[in-house]
Amino acid sequence: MRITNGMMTSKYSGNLNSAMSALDYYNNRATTLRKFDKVSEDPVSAAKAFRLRRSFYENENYHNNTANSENQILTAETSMRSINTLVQEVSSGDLMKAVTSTSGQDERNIIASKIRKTMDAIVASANAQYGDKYIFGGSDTTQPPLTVSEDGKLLYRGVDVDTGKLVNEDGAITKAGGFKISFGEDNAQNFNGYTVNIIDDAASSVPVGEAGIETGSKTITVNLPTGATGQDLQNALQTATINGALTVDLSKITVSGDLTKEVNTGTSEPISDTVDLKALAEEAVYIDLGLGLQVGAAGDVNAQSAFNVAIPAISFLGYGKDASGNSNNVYNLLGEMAKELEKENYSYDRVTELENTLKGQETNLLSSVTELGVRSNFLISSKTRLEDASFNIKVQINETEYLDASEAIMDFKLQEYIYNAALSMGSKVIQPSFLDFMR
Amino acid sequence: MRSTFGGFYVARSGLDAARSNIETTGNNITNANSIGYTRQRLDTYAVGSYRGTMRYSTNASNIGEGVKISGTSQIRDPYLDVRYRAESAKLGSTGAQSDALADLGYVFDSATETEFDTQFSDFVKQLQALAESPSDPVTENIVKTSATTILQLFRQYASQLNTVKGQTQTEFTDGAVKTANLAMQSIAELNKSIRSANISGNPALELVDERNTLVDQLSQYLNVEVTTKDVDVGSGVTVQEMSINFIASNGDKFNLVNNDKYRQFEVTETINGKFGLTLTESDGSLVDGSDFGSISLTGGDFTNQVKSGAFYGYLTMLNDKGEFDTPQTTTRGIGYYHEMLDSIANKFAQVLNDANSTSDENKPLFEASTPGDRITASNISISNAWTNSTGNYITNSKKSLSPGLGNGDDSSNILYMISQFKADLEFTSEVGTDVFKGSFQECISNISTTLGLQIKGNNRIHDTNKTNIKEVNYQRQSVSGVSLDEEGINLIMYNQSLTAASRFMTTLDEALETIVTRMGVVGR
Repeated sequence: MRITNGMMTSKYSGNLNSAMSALDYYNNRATTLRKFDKVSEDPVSAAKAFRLRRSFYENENYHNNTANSENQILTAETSMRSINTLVQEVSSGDLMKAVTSTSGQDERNIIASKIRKTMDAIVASANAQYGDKYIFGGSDTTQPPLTVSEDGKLLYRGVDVDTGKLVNEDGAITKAGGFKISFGEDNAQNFNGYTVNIIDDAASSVPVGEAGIETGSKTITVNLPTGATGQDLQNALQTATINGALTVDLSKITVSGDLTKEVNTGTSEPISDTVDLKALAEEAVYIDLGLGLQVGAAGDVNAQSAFNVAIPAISFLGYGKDASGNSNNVYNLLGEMAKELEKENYSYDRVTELENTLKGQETNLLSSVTELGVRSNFLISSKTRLEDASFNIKVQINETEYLDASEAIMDFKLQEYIYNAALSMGSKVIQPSFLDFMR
Repeated sequence: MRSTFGGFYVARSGLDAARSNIETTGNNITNANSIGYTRQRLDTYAVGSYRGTMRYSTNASNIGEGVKISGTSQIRDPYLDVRYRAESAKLGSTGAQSDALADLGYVFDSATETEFDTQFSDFVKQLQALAESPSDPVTENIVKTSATTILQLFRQYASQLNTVKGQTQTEFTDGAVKTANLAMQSIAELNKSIRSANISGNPALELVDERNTLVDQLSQYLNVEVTTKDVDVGSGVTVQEMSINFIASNGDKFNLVNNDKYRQFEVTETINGKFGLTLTESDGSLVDGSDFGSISLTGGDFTNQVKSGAFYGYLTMLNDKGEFDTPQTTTRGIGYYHEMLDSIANKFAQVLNDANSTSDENKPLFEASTPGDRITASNISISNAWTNSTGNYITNSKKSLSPGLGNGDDSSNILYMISQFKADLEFTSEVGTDVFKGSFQECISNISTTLGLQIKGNNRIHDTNKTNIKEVNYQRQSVSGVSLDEEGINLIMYNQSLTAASRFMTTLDEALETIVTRMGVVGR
């Protein structure tokens, strides 16, 4: 092949440039110790690195959740243990041994006041907070879960723990058209079982913009035009026409939410003045700890796939009444005992009966405490598992994205040598030509 | 019998040829580094004796009449030109794609800065916090802020992609098309000059070099073919006329330059944002086959016929959307990445809006900036209702376990939202074609890895094309390039020829001197 000077020099400068860019590449590797900066350099490893990084963040989230839950459960455990001790002091301690069939009024009063102090302490412990959360509130951690009604009964989130009746100020509540409708405490009983039906129908027997209460079918029909707001709904309800025998104060019905918002049509759940206490005691609040969270679109969490942090107070303090009509609730039982002791015509048998029921509930309380211990152990082992996983992911990230320093530096040194060799070749490649030897 | 002074003419022709050769060598040496220069050679031939055919000639002395210069010519291999131009079209196509992909790379190709992916992780983290304290307005506000950042990133990426598209469009219309048009125009003008020079006997080799360079340049934009034909211009003179054809993918040929006439490319943009390429006469009228050359195309648009060269590269990057096209196209252009981003934004909004809305209330978290439009990466925004809400807007739970109590802290719906970030979702195009199945973040990293693979693949082909064209160019240089060694040797050789011719003349002179002054003086 015929070779010209131009060919040689252009080839040389091209090669020198590629040696230089290789030097730049290895320099970058040796200084950053990264295997690749751009996805296009190694798409397969980059895809792996992305996945690992996601796992790492995820794991961090789970770890955070676990640590939080662990602290919350430990706080709950402490409170529950102290409640257990308080109850034990009454049921199995010396206090009740002092009560005999012949105990005098003063003596009994002292014991009763001691019991009442215990009761206050139980409420205080059950209203314990972790951070600003009330840990025994089930699915409502913003309000203190336990309050005491005027007649000395325990209320759990405004619900009588013996009967399940709603005793809160709003009375019965239902949701319709995207708004919360409260019927007022006094009205709650009267509206029990009613449904609210919001329609938009010019042909309806209920005039547009008004509401009609049908006592026979227990329906409250509200006929609102398109574009009506929450305020219109409230106005219609407060001026409703009652068809049948029902005496209620309609002005106590209030609509809450953003009242300027448009009302949707639809039918509400039946209004109820009682709450299913069992459902309330079994309420669960789930936290994602990386157990393969499974949630249906309706919000039904697979209990095995998440961790339940809710401990509703009535689940361990007891709810409802037993066969003989005694409360199952520790607080209410203690209240009954105190009341009986304070009575003039006090019955020792009654106190003994209550004491025995209390002993049964105490077992229940103790098993709840034990169960909580199992839950906190699970959290501790989860935390260890997550920490191990986190470490493994870090190792994998390192293997996928980062270079061994010695290897990177060796590569750079070798390339440096090649570049230097290419440079020293340069002066030899650009040789004198025949012209230099002409005389 | 030859005339007495005939030999002088032979000597003179030798001197002439030697001097012209030296000058040609000089021209070669001085142009050794000129771009596109083809080394030249003096064409000489030996002049024979004419007397052999004469009636009274004597057979004794049929000596040649010296050397004659027939002209200068270029040393060039036309086959290598054809190969060079074919490779050049391939290189042009991968080059244009490579440029556009590099621009896309600034948006999506970073393995270290994965802020988008990370922001999704952050959003999930905030949702986890909200799941722990669902009715906390502060936490919900943090969720909103995190969502806003995601939306900002969506919009930022969408606008960056628009910038990339704009840049590529400018490179195509103001760079590639204008350069090609100018090249075609200049070639036509050069054809005219070369033709008139040829008629007057001037080979105009430098102009031919210039024209070859321009054809090389044109060949990187599309697949061209150069044809020449001899035309008789009268008085026995023939000149070569050159025309350039574009060879379409189906084999059709479109005349781009025909001697001194030329056509121009024009870029059109259709309503759906696709770019087209039309061919017009130099006076601006659309080519429809009525004028020169063989043309069969409707409306002058032959976009689909361009399958190689930089034009093809630009057109695919600007027009093709891969899976998002119907029918599907093979190249994933800028549009593919934009559509992919749009479908993530759309799915993100759709999934969370559905999750937040209840059976009796529509509570969208996100909407298009003009409500009612399809939500895309460029228009996704926090819904008005969420923006204006001061308290709790995110639906904590869809369960109604305890009517009358509400279920303030049951966060099962937030857990449902969290679970959607791990779920395998079907990402679809606007018309419903499945484009990806996986989680949000998998889809985002899929964009990066798809682009990474595309860049890697394209770079590999581009490098191969570069090597090929270098190789062809090397071969071409080998034939046409100036070697200083050779020229140096030639200098000495022709110098010696000159000396020898002079010596020959001196010899003749001396011989004549003998005849004129010394002859017939014997014994004087």
